[in-house]
Amino acid sequence: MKLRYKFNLLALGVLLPVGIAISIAGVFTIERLAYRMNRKLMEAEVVKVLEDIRSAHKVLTESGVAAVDSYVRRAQADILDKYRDFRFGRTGRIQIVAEPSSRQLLPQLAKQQNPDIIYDEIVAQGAQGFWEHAHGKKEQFHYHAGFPAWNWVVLMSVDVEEMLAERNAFLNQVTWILLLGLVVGLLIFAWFARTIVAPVQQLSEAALAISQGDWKKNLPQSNAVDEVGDLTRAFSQMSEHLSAAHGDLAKQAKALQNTNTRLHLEITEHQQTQQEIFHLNQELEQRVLQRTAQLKVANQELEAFAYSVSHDLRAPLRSIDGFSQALLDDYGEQLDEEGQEFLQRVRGASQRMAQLIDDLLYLSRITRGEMIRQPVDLSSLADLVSKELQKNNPQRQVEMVVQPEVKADGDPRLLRVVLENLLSNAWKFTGRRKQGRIEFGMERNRSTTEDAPPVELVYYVRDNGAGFDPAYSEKLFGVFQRLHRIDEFPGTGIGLATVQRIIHRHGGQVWADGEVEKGATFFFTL
Amino acid sequence: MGLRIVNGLLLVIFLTGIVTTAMAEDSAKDLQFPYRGKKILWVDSYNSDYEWSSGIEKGLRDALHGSGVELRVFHMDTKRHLEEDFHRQAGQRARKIIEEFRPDVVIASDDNAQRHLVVPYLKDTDLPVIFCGVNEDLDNYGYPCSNVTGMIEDEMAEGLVMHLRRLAKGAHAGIMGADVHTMRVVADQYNKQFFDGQLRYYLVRSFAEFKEAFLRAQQEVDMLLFRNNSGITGWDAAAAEAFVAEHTTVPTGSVLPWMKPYNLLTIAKIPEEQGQYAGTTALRIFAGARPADLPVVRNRLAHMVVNLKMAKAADLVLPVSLLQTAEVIGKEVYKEAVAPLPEGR
Repeated sequence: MKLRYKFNLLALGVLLPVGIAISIAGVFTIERLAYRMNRKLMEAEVVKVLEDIRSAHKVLTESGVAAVDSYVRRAQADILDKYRDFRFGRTGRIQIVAEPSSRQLLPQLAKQQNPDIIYDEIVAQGAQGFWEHAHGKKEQFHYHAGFPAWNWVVLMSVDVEEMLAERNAFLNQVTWILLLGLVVGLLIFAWFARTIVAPVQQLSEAALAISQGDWKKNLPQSNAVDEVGDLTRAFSQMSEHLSAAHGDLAKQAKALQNTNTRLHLEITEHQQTQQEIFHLNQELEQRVLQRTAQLKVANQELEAFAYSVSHDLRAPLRSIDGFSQALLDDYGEQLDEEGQEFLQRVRGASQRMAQLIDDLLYLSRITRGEMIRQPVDLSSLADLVSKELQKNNPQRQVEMVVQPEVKADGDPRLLRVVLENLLSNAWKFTGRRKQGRIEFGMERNRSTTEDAPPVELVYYVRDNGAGFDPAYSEKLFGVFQRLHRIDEFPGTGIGLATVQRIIHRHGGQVWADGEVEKGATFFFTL
Repeated sequence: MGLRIVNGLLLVIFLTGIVTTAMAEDSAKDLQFPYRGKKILWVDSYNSDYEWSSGIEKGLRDALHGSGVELRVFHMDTKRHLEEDFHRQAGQRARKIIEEFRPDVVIASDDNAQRHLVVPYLKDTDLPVIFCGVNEDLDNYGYPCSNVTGMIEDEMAEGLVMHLRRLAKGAHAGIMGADVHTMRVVADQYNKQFFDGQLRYYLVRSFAEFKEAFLRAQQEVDMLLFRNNSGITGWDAAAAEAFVAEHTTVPTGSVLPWMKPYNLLTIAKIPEEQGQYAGTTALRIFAGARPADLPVVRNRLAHMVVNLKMAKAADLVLPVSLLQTAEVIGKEVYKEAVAPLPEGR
């Protein structure tokens, strides 16, 4: 159903029931008020008559003539005269009846005229009260009350039709007003439908056409200065923008289609390339495997060779050292001082070579051994190593500062080797300091050199020892590389190489920072 | 020595208290009696046992009650002494009392006091005079004047005549009373004012003449104004009441309150109103008003009495409206004769 018809039905549905409800309520209210008002007025009039009667009776009583027939008749005649011409509205009148003969005193009756008071009804209603009675075709509303001293009943009557005249007039007026209101209401709703519903309907049709792709549909126009006008104009603008956007979108879709085609070709080419790369990779991997196998074999051969060489070299060295010792022990007295010194040098060289060979073997074992990663408490390890160093050299004054709770994930055996090398190095190079200081700890995001990658956790061992020339820092981790004379600081030059091997096996980095006589700091990551 | 000083001080305090109390009492009395020390002389034309004079005195004393004014009364007694010389001498006696008593205001009631005291001796002097009960035309006395004001006595004759005409069966009217000057004056006024000269006069001197005239009047007129019995010699009140109760056949009336036993209807002026006015006006003069500034007024109050004896005698049924506004006397006349009312009247 069209919206405008719905609105018309709504208007009828609202106006008619409301109007009828108000009318019915009004009719009932007026009828009730009419009855109530007439009850009060009629009662007041009857009471007024009775008051006159009572007053007259009282005067007669006080004058001592209440029982004098002539006086009573005179007083009654005066009362009847007073109310003879009484009128209450158009049909209301006062009637007075004398009991028990039911003789009508007022209005006076002509001879042979029947009384128009229904005395039986009065008796039936009791001493006083309101009642309705059909008098011929007329409905009458009555109120009566009696004055027993005179045996009088005063009756007030009014036609119900007159009593409810206001109700009927109201009903007529309301009917006309309702009809007029209905017409005016329908006109207002028609105007409402024309100014609000019609534009909304046009909007609806336009929106429907646009939703079906009909961009050529005429858009609704409105000059109304209200929300519907604003909506119509906004819808038109929005539709125009949508139409333009739709055109742009079509162009872009076409361009996208071209791009897709080109991309499809490129993807095909890319897939072919990938296929080729895959084949090449497979070939490369095959080659790497072959090379790795060859390298492994070569490495095993090299290690076996190194082990054999080292092991085999130890026997003659032990002989050289042993016989040199025997020479010194057995024939030392026959040798002069220079000869003894030479033998001592031979022994020293052979022992030193043996040490070198041991170190090489050690380095080799470390490189070849299996690595087991697990959480490691580096602070505890550093404390342990420090205590051993202090125990072995109790005369040294070295302040060992170990940062607590430094943890790491690595092989505990290898990491102990790292800390033993770095701490013993620091211990060694602070040997000429009266008060040495060695620190172990951990920093975050610390990058001391340009080459060092930015890392999250950096472990360090710092000392205030002899330091080194930073120009040679690259050589520090080479095998048998030394930056000091052996008589200054003993060593084989294999320790830091070992450290570097272990750190590399953990996937970390190791580097050093220092200056001559200003101490050194070794950093490593894991 | 010290004891004597203390006694002296106590004596001073005691005397001061007495003086202060006396002054306070005087002040309270001044508030209670604002015109204390003022004197009024009331010169009454009639005698002290005359009902009219008694009524005036009652109203006068009511008005002056609580004012502190000293009231002195002189009755000229001109009602019982009709001689002109007696009237003149009574005026001279009143003048002598004024000279001795030296009142601040003189109240002169009824015409003889005006005629024989105020007009010859007090008019246009500095002594304020208040008259009341005056029936004659004020021009005859030259009232009002600079020191005289008062209340004219207006008989309620108009209302009486109106009621009698309602009750009467015809238009013929008569007036009855003593054959004296005042009565003749009044009768002439009634005749002129209400009856266009058609009023019949029944003026008598004795009780016997009265009875004869009364019976004649019942036959000749439809209503009778039996205004006053004063001046009828040999008047027997009880006999008169019984006589009229037996022989009244037409409505009768009077404007004098003491005539109610003999008349069907009495609409009387109230003497208390005259006395009340005189007293109130005297107090206004004491308060600073001048007699010339106070206009002459007329009496307005009346007391209506209906006598059921006369009504029954005349076989008249009075309307409730009349019974309602009047004092009803003679009720006993119906007590013996009333029978129970029949039902369904």
